[in-house]
Amino acid sequence: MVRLLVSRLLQSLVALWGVTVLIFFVTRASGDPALLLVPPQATDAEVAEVRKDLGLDESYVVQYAKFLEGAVRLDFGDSYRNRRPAMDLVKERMPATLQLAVGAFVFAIVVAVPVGVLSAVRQGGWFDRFGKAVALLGQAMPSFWLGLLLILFFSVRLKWLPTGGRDGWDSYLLPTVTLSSYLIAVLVRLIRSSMLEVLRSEYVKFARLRGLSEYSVVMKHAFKNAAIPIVTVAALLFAAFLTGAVVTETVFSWPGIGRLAVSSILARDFPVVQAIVLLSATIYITTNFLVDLAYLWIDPRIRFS
Amino acid sequence: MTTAQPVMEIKHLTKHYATGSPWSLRKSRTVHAVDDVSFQLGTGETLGIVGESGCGKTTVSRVILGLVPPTDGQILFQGSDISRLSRRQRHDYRTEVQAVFQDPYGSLNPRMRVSDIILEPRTVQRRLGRREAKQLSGELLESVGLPGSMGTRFPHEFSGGQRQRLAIARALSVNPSVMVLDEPVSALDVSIRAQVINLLMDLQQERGLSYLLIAHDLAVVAHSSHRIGVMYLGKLVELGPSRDVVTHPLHPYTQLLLSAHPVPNPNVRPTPKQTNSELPSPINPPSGCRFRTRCPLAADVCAEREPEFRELEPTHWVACHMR
Amino acid sequence: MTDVEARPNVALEIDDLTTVFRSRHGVVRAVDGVSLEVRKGEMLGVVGESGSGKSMLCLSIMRLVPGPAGRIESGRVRLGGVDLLRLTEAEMRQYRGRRIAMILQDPLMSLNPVYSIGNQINESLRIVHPGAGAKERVQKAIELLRSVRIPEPKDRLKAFPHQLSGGMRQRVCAAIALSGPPELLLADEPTTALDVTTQAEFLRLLRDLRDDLGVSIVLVTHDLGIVAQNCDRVAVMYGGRIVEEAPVRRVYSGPRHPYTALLLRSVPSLETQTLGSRLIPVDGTPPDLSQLPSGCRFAPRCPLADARCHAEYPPITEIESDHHSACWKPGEVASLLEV
Ligand SMILES: Nc1ncnc2c1ncn2[C@@H]1O[C@H](COP(=O)(O)OP(=O)(O)OP(=O)(O)O)[C@@H](O)[C@H]1O
Ligand SMILES: Nc1ncnc2c1ncn2[C@@H]1O[C@H](COP(=O)(O)OP(=O)(O)OP(=O)(O)O)[C@@H](O)[C@H]1O
Ligand SMILES: [Mg+2]
Ligand SMILES: [Mg+2]
Repeated sequence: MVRLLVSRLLQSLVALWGVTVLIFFVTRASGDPALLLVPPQATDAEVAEVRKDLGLDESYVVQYAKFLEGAVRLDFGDSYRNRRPAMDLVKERMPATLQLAVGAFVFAIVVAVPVGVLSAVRQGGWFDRFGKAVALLGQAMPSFWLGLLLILFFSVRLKWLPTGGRDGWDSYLLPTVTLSSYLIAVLVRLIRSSMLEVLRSEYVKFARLRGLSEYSVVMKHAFKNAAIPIVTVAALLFAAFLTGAVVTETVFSWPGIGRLAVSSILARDFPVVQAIVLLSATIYITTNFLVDLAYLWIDPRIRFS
Repeated sequence: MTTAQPVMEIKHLTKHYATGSPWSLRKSRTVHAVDDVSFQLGTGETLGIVGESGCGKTTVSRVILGLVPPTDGQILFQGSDISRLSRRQRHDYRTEVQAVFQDPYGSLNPRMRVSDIILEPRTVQRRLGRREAKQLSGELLESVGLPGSMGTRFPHEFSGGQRQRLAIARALSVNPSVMVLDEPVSALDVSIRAQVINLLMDLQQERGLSYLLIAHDLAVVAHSSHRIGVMYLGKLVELGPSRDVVTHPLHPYTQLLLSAHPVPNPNVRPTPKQTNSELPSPINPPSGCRFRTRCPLAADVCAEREPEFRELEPTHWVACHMR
Repeated sequence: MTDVEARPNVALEIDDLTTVFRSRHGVVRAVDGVSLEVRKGEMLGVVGESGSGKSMLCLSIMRLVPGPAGRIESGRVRLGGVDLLRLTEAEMRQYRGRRIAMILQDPLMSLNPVYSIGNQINESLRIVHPGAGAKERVQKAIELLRSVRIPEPKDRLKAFPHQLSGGMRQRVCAAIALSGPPELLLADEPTTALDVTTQAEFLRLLRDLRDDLGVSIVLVTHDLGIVAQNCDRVAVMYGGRIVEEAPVRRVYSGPRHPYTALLLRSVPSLETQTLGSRLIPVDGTPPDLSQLPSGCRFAPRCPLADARCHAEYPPITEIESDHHSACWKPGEVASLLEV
């Protein structure tokens, strides 16, 4: 099993390296950054000057080596727009994104697990209908719309909560609910169907036959097995939250990574874009690794193979 | 029977499993699930394997199917070592050797239509057209004695015996030459058991299939196998033609096994052979002969040396010092 | 709750029990008006072909018929004078595992794959021996595994189900069911994954429980050899009903229902003259439980059937003392065995 872990770790590193190659060449291929930095009427000599400044006159191999070396030190160069290290800009935005992502994820789990489990246990009953409605609504309703509705009601109408920004605990509520709505819907649907399947299994029947309490049958015996197919989905959606929830951030003027990414892309601010892409890739790859670990922990059939 | 040319040769097969938690750094103990087992499977032959629960029968079949790697030893299929096959050859091997397991409920996906289930190994090779698939599934269903029109149904609409036929049809879909049957009839009642065994024998006649048949029901094995191999605690202890093994078993374990067969007559009570209370275990197998702790014939030599597997009578092999 | 006086020598009394499934093809009557008694300290064999309702009969007694498609329609199941079908779910849970235990038919899937077997045994022991401490329970778990002849039981407690062979998993389930031990054990084909010597040991354990502790046992099996060697009485099921019920010796020496006779004939034997010959199945297909004929359910496959058999269902009657059969021609059955 140690072998398995090591090989997964190596795979992750290789994947990460692949991402750096991809970022490097894709950004080079999408146009000459120097042209963006000089005024439109600049002469060729001025352009060449800028290129030299940025190190763009050297061969691709040398450029890549420098890029990679910088990337390892988390140095992606200065932002073209405001001449500060790109990584600093990203770091400034990180706490806001992190708080929102973790908050939304925890909220989603806290809501979705009981709703999904109870829907399955009460299959066909009124609670099940409620659960199915939650799943349907959450997936069908675009989050910008839900966000706007919430703002209209709680901020404009009732004036209980701020319409946006990030100051004070009450500014967290609406963005968290909005961001988690899709995850809640997905999880409720998955947990419900996975639980239904597990509840029909022989080992759950045997657990009931042994006289175990209903709580133990459902939460100990059924839920752990039902969680197996769900872990991956939940983790990947969490990773998506971490790398920016553009729509939610925009609706609530939330100062997170997502908005930074969009504005940087629009401005062709490559150092910042590169930093964000590499950060996202790292988050995804790390998440995948953690998912593998989670499976080792949950499923002995994998642990012992 | 045609044992002339073996289709499959198992040489010194050994499989050990580690026990204990994989997180801990302490050295864990080893389960000697299969230890140095060798036999051949002839073309068109049925080789029955019987033995005590936990003696390694399923492990042998899982290694042959390539589901777990052997710790040691070789498996030759048509002369070539299956651990050295190229990607292409391995693919061929996976279609040539098919499996049917004990559990007809667990092995069929409840959400797939029967026609898709039985053509699954086939479509892994190549996508089938709609018409072609329909015709093929019809033919396969009929070859196992089910109406060809049943392809549109779901597995839960079939009885246990019918499901086991579906598993057989699925295995047949790629025209295998060897079938590994791990307790294919254990879950079935006598009548359906008879139908499935008869079906397997017919298919063997028609297609020249070779079977490795693992079963607990000695009568079933005796009726359908050409040869019988008897395993005990990871070892092959006796191997010979069915009739010989059943009528004059050479190994004391085989004798014990035969005497324990429940006779369907309440007036005939088999003399119960009292077994020793000490339980031999594959984690810590007895020295020398592994059966000695329960053997009525055991002598000192049995604890000292492992008995050699030898051909005591023509084609009838046994591993016992006392013979 | 005690609606009638419990009869002294009867452990379980089933009265006119009917369990149905709603399915796409109509209503399936899996158990159809079964009446049966299990006497104290006896081993009752239940045999019958696949799909005849044996498992559903047991699950109905445990009140665990798989819903929402299946449900118990009517009847009474009395244990010590208490009708189990009228208990609340919470009351019924007090019976499960403690007073009535069941071993499920599927030996490979009955244990939860993500918990060690020690964990699962311990959990049951907490229920049946609430007073025992943790150490005591481990000791008891080891004892239980040893009683079903699992070698090195202490090591095996840490094993997960996939690390055990099929037969070992089946025996672990049995050990859990026996942990009480219960008053009544419903064993649904408990030896399908066992070789004959291990099977013999296990059946001896069941006989010992019956003889020493007076446990009443219902043994569902396909193996007529097992019934002959271990049971006191036998009930034969066909198409959701009991068609014959009698002491074991009577059934084997003189069956009074044609299905029983044909079943006996299809048992393969180890006698040398028949080795290598084809096995004899009972001809024909099992009845479709959603479209039952009005007459005898076995009539379409019965060599003795005549017009009356196809038209009228033979009720189960006591044709000799303690020998019940549902056949219009019990006297002619013996002729079927002479083939
Ligand atoms: N994945 C595994 N990890 C550890 N031990 C295993 C594993 N699979 C099997 N074993 C052990 O190997 C031994 C042989 O098991 P195997 O399943 O081959 O027995 P079997 O002959 O098929 O028995 P049965 O008749 O009960 O099915 C057993 O002691 C079992 O506990
Ligand atoms: N979920 C279900 N939906 C519809 N019918 C069902 C369902 N479960 C069982 N049945 C039907 O109930 C009948 C009785 O099934 P049961 O499992 O009791 O048979 P059995 O006698 O135990 O057979 P076996 O020997 O194969 O285990 C069968 O005919 C089966 O088709
Ligand atoms: Mg096995
Ligand atoms: Mg059953």
